[in-house]
Amino acid sequence: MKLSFVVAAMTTFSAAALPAAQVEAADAPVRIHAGLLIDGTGASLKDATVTVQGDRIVSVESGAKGPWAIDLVKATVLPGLIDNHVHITWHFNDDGRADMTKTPREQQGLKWAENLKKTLMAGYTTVQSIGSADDLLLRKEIASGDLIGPRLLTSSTAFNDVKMSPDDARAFVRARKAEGADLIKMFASKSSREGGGATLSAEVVAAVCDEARKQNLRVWVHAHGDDSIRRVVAGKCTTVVHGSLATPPMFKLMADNGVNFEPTVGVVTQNYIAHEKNYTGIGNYTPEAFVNMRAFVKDQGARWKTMFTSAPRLNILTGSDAVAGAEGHNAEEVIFRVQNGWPAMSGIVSTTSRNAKALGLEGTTGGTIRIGGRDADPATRARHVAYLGHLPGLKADLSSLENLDYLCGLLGRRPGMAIEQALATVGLAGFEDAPARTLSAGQRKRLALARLWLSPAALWLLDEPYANLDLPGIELVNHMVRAHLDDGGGALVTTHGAYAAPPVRTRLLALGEEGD
Amino acid sequence: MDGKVTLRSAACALVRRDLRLLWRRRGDALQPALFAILVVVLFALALGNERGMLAAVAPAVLWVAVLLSGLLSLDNLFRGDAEDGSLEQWLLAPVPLAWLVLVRTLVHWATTALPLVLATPLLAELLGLPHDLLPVLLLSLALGTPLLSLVGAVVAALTVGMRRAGVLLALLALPLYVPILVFGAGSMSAAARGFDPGGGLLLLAAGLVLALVLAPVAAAAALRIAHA
Repeated sequence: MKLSFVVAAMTTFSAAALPAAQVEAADAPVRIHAGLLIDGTGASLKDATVTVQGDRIVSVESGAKGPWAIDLVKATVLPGLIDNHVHITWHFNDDGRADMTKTPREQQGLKWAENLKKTLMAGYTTVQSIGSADDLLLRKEIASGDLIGPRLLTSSTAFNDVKMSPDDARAFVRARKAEGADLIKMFASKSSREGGGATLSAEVVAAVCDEARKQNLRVWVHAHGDDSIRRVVAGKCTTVVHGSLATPPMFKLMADNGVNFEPTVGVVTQNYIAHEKNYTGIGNYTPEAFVNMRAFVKDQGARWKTMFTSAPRLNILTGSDAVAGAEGHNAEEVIFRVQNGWPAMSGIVSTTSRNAKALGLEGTTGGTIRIGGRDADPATRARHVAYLGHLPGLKADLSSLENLDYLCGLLGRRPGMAIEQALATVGLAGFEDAPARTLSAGQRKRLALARLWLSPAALWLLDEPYANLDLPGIELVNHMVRAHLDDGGGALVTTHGAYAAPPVRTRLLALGEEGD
Repeated sequence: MDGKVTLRSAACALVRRDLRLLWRRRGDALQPALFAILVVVLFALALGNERGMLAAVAPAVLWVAVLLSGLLSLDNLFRGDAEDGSLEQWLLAPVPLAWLVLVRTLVHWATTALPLVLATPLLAELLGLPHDLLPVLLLSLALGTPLLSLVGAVVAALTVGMRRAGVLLALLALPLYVPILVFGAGSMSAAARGFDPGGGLLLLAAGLVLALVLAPVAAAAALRIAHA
C-alpha cells in the first residue's frame, strides 16, 4: 500500500528553468530527474521527477522511474531564479568606462546581449530591468525567442523629475502604460552617496502610485531614508527599494502597511567599489563618494540584520540592482544575506516564489491531483483518506462493537483486521459491549482511534489526535502513526503540543500568524 | 464481510445502525405515532356526536395528523449525525452521499410514517370512515408519506447547520407539503363523492418517483453546504 501523492502545480514562475535547447518539440514532455528538488515555496522533495511540456511544468512526483531526458540525480534542482532589480543595458564601453553615452549605438545591442546571456547562465530566468526605454526592445526580442536571455520585465523610463506636478506625474504614468511598461520606477530620494534625502513631495508620490494602481501597474520606489519611505508608505506604493538609511521603525511601518521591501545589500555597492576605476569621475561617482561607500559597506552586514529582524512580517524581496560589472553576479545579493544570518531557505523562497508573487507572475494555472497514479476527483479522493476530527463520529447509544461494525460497513475495513483486535490495540478490550455513552472522553477517543486503525485509507488526517488522552494514550497515537507510516501510509497531524508529535517527522509545518 | 464497501454494504450498515438506535430509544420512537393518534382521538371526541361530519372530515384529519407527526420528527433526521460527527464520516465514505441520505430517509420513513400508515385502518374506524374509501386512503398515504419524508429531508438538510431549527423547519417545509396534502386529501374527497381518485394518486406517484431521484441529491448538496 504505497501512497504516491502527485501534485502537478503548473506555476508560471518556474517554467523557464529549462535551457531552451533541451525543449526539442513543444509538445514532447521532457522528464528531469532531481536528487533533491527545492520547489521555491519552502518545501523540498527527494528523488523527484519534473515533467515539462512546452513551457509548463506538468507534474512533479517523487520516486518515479526513468528514463529521464536530464538526469541530475546528484544535484539539487531549483525553480529559475528571479532578480527584481537589474539594469540590463548598463555596461562598460570599450574604454572600460561606465559611460553608456560614449558607446556607439550599433555596439550597445551587443553589450546588452552579453549581459542577458551572463544573467541567464547565472541561473536567472526572469529579471526586472528598471529604468531604460531600451528594455522594451529587448523584452520583445527575448519574448519572440530570437534573443537568448531571461524573461524580461521593464519599467521603461524611470520617474525622476522633481519639478513635476501631481497631474504631470499621472500623465507620466499613463504614458508608460501606453508604452507597454510592466511597472513604474520612481526615484523618491537622492542616492545614498548624496545623503538619501527625499526628493519628491508626498502629493507627487501618492499621485504616481494612485495612477499606477488605476493602470494596474506596480511601483518600485527608490527610497533610502525615513522621510521618503514614509511618503512611499502613505502613498500605498508597491515596493520600497534600497532603504539603506532607514531606521528600524520604518521596517515595521512597511510591514504593517503591506509594502514590500527590497534591500540591495550584497551586490551594488560592493560592485562599485570593485570597479572604482570604471566609475570614478562619472556623474556623482566622485572620489569622495567612493570613500563614503567604503565606509558604508563595512556595516552592511549589521545593517542587513537590522532590516530582516526588525519586523518579522516584512515581505522582503530580492533584487540585486546589478549595474555594469555585476552582470551574472546577481546571486551574490542573496548569498550575502544568508552569510549574514538569513536562513538559506528564506533566501531561496524570496528569490523564487516570493519575487514571482510580487511581480504578479505567481499563480497556479491548472493541474491535477493524483493519488496512486489515478486522477482524484473529490469523490475518489475521499476513499483514500481517513479523518479523525474533534467529533468522534460515534453513536452514544451503540456499544463499542456496534459503533465499529457500522463505521467499517460505511468506510471499509483493512483486510485481515478484526474489530476485537483493533479494540485490544487501543486498550479497550473488555469494553466491547459498553455503550459509548458510558465511556470516558479518553476512552471515546480511543474508540475513534480504533476506527482509524481499522480504516483501509492510506492517508490519515488527524486533527488534534492527542486531545483528551493521557500519556499512554499519546504513546498509543504515536505508535499507530509510526506503524501506519511503516506500512507505506501517510499521516497529516495537527497538534498544539509539539511534545506529543509522532517520532517520525518527515515534514513540519508551523501554522500561525505570520511573524509568530 | 471483507474490507470492500459497496452501495449495498454501506446501506446495510446504516440500516442496522438505525434500527439498533431505534430499539435503544424505543420510547422516543413511539412519540410521533402517539401524537398522530392523539390528534385523531381529539377530533373524534370533539365531533363525537356528529357522525356524519366526522366521517366527512376523516380523510383530511388523518392526512393532517400524519403530516404533522412527520414534521415533529423531521429535525432529528440529520441533526444527531451532524452533532456527533457521523456526518463527517458520511462525507468521506466511498459511496455517494446522496445514497446514504436516501437510505437514511427511507429508514426514517419506515420507522416513523409506516407504522402510522399500518395503524390507519384502526384510526379510520375510530373516525367512522366509510370502508370502501379505506383502500384509497391507504394508497394515498403509502404514496404521500415517503414523498413527505423525501421533501422534508431536503429541508432538514438545509437547516442542519443551525443550532435549533424547530419553527423555521416547519415554515420551510409546510409550503412544500401543501401540494402533497392537496393531492392526497383531494383524491380522498374525489373518491368520497364517487369520482375517480386516480388523478391525484397518479400525481402523487409521479411526485414520489421524481423525489426519489432528486431529493437525495438535493439533500446531499445541502448537507455539504451546511457542513462547509
